Amino acid sequence: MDSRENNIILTFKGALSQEILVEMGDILRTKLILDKQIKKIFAVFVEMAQNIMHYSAERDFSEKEQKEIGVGIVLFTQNKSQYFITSGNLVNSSICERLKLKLDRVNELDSEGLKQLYKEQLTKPQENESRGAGLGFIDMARKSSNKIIYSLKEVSNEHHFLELTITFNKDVIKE
Amino acid sequence: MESLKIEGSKTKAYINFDAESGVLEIGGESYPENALEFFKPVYDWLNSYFNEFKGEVTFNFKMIYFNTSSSKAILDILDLIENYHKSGGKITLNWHYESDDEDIQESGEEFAEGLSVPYNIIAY
Repeated sequence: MDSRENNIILTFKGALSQEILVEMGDILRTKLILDKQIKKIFAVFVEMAQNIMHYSAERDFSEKEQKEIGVGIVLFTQNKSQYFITSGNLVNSSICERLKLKLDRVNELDSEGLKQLYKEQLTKPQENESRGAGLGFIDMARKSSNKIIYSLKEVSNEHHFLELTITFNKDVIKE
Repeated sequence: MESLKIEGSKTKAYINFDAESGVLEIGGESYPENALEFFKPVYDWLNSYFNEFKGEVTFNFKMIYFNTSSSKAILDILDLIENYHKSGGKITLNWHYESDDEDIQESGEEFAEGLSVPYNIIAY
């Protein structure tokens, strides 16, 4: 494998139901069975997928589940030294500023700071619009120990496209 | 009071609350689509149990993995446990983790901060 070249391990685009999450999770676990970081990578994948499921501004009605499900993209790639897990989905433009603040805050903190922020968020009363606990970004950053790479691109008056990438450094391979 | 048993699944924790013996256990993996909905009956059962039961309780957490919304639910359960202890109930809390799983170990340590209930973090 060329060190500059990213190769795709797993990719999905569409309505991300819990059922699809479970199947993708199984594939990830099978492919990374020998990697020590598998539990951390799996955890990041679950937070990303459930973010799309619950918060994507683009939603599809599922006949099977009889409800609306968030639409988005998940991409899992690697090169010689790193894994990259990326999610993409539409968000309402009105929440962009808030998202930026949250992500920048997470990116400014070291591991001790992230631990404190996690605790603070955990014990805080639930934001009423939030199904999760507002902990996802913090958890992703803690699991990866690298900064979250993100972008918010305007796609229309109403929507931005949020892209998040979490990287994992591969364990040093003894040759 | 009747015991509460919920069989675990890929994304849902197993619950084994034995009302008579006071041995209560939650374990497995927890990343359901809606953690609040899953844990609601668990929380409600514990709430009534701690109001009624006067015996000695052993509470075991044997989590393998849980997502962030489940961690909120676990915190709520820990609050109930802490209150039982504070109101004079005899209760021991055991947080089990696989010996090489630093994430579950660390969560156990973090949850323990600020609790006064007897709390053991145990590797297996």
